[in-house]
Amino acid sequence: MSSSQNNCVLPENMLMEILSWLPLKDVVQCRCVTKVWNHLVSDSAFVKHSHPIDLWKSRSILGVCNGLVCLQDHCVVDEFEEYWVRIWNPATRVMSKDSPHICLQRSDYKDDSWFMFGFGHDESSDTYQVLFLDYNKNESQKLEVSVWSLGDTCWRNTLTCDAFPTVIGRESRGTFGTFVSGTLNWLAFPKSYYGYVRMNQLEIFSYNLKNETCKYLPMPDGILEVYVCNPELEVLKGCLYLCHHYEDLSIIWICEDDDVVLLANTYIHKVDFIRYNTRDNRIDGRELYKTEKCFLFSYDYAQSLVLPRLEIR
Amino acid sequence: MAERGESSEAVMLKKTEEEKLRKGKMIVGDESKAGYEEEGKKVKLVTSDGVTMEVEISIVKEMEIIQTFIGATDTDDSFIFPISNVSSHILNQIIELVKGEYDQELAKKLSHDELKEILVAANYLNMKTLFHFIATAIANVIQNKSVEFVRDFFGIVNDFTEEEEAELRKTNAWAFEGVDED
Repeated sequence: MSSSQNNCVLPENMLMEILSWLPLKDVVQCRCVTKVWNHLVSDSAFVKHSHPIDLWKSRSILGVCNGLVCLQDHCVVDEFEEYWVRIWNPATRVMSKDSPHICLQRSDYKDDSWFMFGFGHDESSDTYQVLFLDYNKNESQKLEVSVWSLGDTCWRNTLTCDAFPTVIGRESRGTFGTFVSGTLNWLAFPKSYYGYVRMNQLEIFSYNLKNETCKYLPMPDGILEVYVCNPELEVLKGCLYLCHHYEDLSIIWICEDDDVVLLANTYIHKVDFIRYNTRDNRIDGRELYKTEKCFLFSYDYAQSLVLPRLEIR
Repeated sequence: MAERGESSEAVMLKKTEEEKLRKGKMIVGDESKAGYEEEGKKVKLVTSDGVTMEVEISIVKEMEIIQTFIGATDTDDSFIFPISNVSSHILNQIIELVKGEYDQELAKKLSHDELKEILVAANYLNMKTLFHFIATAIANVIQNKSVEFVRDFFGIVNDFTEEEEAELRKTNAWAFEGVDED
């Protein structure tokens, strides 16, 4: 072993040690060094040391599940728009590579609501999945569901069904589905998106990740027959709940042990929560919050050691 | 198989720990003398190029592979240990780094080949602190450098086709922004 010769090829464990001290950006670059390195860096055993967070320039958070954050980005190339996602574990600071890109011809879509995404986990196969709902082919009136499972090399078409009712996403947070117990959920309008629709006419489009099936769920009994205003689906304590605005109220509907509970707060200025049991027709409780941050979005997030797999082959 | 190997190693290490403990007690019994003796003691190491070097016990102590052996045989001054994977040049560099208390400034003076050879030696001699230190030093050298620089540093031949590499670079384009000149 002479120091004048440049022939010292280091074994894997030593390369791993060196690479583990590099910021993520450099590690990703190193994938291009050789095939062996690409494999090394992609191996989950590589995650031994924490790297400084090197935030991907993400446009939006698509969803959070089991401590994994799904980030979405897009770019515009001529008449095409490309969308892709990454999955990130902020606790271990591991970031997956890009999903395959979805390339859309802009003229095919009237507006953003003609396609939407969702992020969830299928326990039976232990896979993290991103859903892409496509209302493309404006005239086709079909809704196509494609799934990308973390680690896969392509989006897989799993379902094609009639495009009506029209599925809509959470307007204010983008067009992302709500994940709860193995299903991804979106609100569905019975007819035109822009028409006057009452709350009781809405439905919930629910896609089952395991069975790759979908169904439409009706609104809970007792929902107000008022015009739809900022409806959103959210999750609380493992249950889906529905939230909308009505006059100066923000109203939340939860199904709790078969009792439909209405939570209302006085909209905008005061945050006064009233808990109302619609079956027994009585007020269960009342809580006042002194917060001015009611317009920030938050996600339930718990740290986990679930690692997004970096490799693609 | 691997598990069995590991456990026997673990047993050996445990034995060494016990030896150390016993010696520790002895030192407590006759503190001044034993301490003095310990400090001046040297161990003879024979390098790959056949040079016999006397290395201070404080440095040899970091070489766990030798420590294990010393512990097991309980040899003292006349002990000669062959380190067939390490040249005298590299051993001298290692001694400098340990004496210099692992100063990154010292690592900056090392050539690329020296860095790699010290890493290999540290791994062989089972010098944990040195191993991490040199790995960090190498990481510092290749950080924010081009892929070509990294290949050259490690003497690696690119085995991607042009298309494969272009594809990888494209999908990871964000990582290639703002790379230093080599």
